[in-house]
Amino acid sequence: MIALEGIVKRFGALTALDGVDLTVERGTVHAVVGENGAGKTTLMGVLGGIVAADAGTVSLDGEPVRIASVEDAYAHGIGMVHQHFRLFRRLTVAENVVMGREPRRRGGYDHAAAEALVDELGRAHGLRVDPRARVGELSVGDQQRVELLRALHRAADVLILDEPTAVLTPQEAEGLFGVMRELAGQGRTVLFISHKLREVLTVSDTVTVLRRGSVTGVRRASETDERELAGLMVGRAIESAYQAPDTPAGEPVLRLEALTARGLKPLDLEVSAGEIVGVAGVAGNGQTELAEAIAGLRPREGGTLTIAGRALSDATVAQRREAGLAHIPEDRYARGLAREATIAENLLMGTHRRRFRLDRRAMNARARELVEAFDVRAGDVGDRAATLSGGNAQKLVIARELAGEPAVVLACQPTRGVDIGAAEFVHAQLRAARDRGAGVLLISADLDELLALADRIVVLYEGALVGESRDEAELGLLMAGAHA
Amino acid sequence: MRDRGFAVGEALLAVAIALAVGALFVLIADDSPATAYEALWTSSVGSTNALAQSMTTAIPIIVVGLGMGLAFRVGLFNLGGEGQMILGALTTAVVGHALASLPGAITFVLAVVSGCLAGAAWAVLPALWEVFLRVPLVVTTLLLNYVGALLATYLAAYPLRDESGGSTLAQTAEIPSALQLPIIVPNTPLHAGLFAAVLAPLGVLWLLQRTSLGYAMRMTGLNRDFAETGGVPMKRTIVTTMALSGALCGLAGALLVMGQTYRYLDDSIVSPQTAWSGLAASMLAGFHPLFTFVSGFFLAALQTGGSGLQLATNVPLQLVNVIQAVIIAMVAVRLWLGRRVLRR
Repeated sequence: MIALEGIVKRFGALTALDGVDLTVERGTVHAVVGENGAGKTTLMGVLGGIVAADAGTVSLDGEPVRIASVEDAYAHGIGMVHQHFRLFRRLTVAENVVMGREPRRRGGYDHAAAEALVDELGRAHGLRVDPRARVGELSVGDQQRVELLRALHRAADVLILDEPTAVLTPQEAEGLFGVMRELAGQGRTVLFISHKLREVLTVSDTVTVLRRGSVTGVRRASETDERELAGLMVGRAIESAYQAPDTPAGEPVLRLEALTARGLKPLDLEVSAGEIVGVAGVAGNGQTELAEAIAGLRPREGGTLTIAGRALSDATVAQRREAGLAHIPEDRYARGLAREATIAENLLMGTHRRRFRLDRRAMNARARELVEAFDVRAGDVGDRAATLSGGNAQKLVIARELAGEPAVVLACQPTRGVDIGAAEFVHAQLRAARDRGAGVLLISADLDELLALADRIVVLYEGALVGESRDEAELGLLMAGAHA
Repeated sequence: MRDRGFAVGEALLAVAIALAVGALFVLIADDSPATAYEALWTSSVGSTNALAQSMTTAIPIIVVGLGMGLAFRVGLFNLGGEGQMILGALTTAVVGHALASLPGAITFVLAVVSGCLAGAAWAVLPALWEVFLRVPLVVTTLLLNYVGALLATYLAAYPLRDESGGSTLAQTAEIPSALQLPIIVPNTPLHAGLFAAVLAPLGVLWLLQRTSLGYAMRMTGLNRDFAETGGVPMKRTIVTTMALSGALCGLAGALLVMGQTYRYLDDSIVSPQTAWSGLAASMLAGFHPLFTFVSGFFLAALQTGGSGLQLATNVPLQLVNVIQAVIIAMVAVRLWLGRRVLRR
């Protein structure tokens, strides 16, 4: 049994952990859940030897132990797999796995032994990766397997996984869950940090919920549900059920007729005023291409596009925005904002063309209003956007795009990587946009999000729209390419 | 503005380290760094005359630095400042001479404007290649320097050569007096072009911070995909930026002709490395227009001081090159590191 008692950790004025107790049975999968900033990673860092606690004790099987470094943790059989991989991309899988614990032969590194060892390790745990492959050439899922193998090679008893599914496709995540169950079955302990409640309930035996540095609940996975856990995470009830619009949908505001672009087959799609149309699909099936084609960032190869009744097939980005299109890009740091520009400057984008002179006072005043109205937690509107947390950066993008009451909202992965509170806010904003008569096209890889928000859901598969449904099982089949 | 303070600190650190390295070289050459730096100080800013000489050298450096720096701010690596400056200088000299019969003010305006336009044209060409043919601008601007320099040499040596004085130099005819900028400090070379070197940074700052065009340019420089998604027309912004950048470089050439040489004198720009000093000044200033004025003056003063140093001590002029090289190396490393950090 692994027990942490009364763990306290302060960073300056911020109390990251305030007397946390955590008890984990050996041979189980134990999830630690909480919003961003709840202290999950800090707590795991204490066990993994990365964070030195200010107070509290760690004991293994009743024996108090001192874990002051990563090496100490390894010595006690505890290994951590980080959210951001720490691999040498130019080295082979085998070299990465044995790094620091290399098999030696005549004073040198023994390639053959290392490869055999990694092969054996992979076979034993169902983590098959070619030991000779270069890590930089592997898929993200395979890179994670290498990280797991490395941790298993060093310390096989207790594995800590920090948000392991954040970068995986659903299929890869499924595979990982199988490995986790198998490791637990072999008597090892898996600690698993996540904020995706559905997967937590799928894979773990026990769940500890953290909120603002304190434990708000410990539940058996079989005796709780997403709703209860979400409530414990944010400290109040969460409204995630689908809410139908009060009024029926109106005239079409976005219309694609046989629209094609590189990476897309001819698409027919209509979004009416006052409805949210969801686009489901496994990542990489044309979501980015579809969004870019609508936004004017990807040249059309055929077909037509109409926004708010205006034919804009070959219009510039500016003309589309003029017609009433708002675009929440899928990657906020790539297209959504400029990190080194100020918050006010980021909020100005798109509306800056009105006059040649730039009125900085008006720009800052409007920015303050938007920051207030959209609850962006920011220091000053003159601060760089890089100072915002992920959720607040997304609120900034939402504020800018929805402020002008657009007729059409193109929202791409709008809650990817943000915590539950911010996601709930984004959802409320999209519903509000629909309720005041905007047509919303929501492209999301998160099926729960689509089911909670969208009035209709279409499925994108290999660049084509293959069907429409609101039934989860049917959607799953469509996403996997089984034509209905 | 915390970051700006940090950048200033870094620039000063680079200068301090460069001076220290220079002192080390003086020590190795068995001389006294204190004496050497004192001579450098005296001959660059120690007297009215020295100060005026340094300021005169600084004028084209500052303006061409502003021009190149403007493109860099937008993420366009315009390395063609030299060619754009040469074309500007030649055009101003030729147009000024050809229009000598018109009223002075008209000649003046037309000569300056045509110099700017020539610089702009030499910069727009690679911008169009980049936008429509996807030929990297960083390569074409650099190569156009050679084309521009050789073209100007040919023109000054043959078709446009000044035959009047029986001179054997490759140079064009003298510009009319209406075009010659007045000396503002008597008995020194410092001319009225100083006002341009003071006003141009303010103008660029105003453009970048107080106009929507400047806003679009800055956002393009900070994150091109973001600007494009927000509706900034990318092709037009690239061409406009390069036109403005080239126009400033052309203006620097015009100022050199009107304030110092009074004609296009072959190799008056390439050998003194005026454009490259301008880029170094701009980089040292973190591409900030006002700081470019300060760093441009600093580099010009180093060059002026170098000749005085050689006269007063046994330390060769090359000390100045060492100091400049160290500064440029450090600034380049900082920019490279900054880029790496930003990419994460």
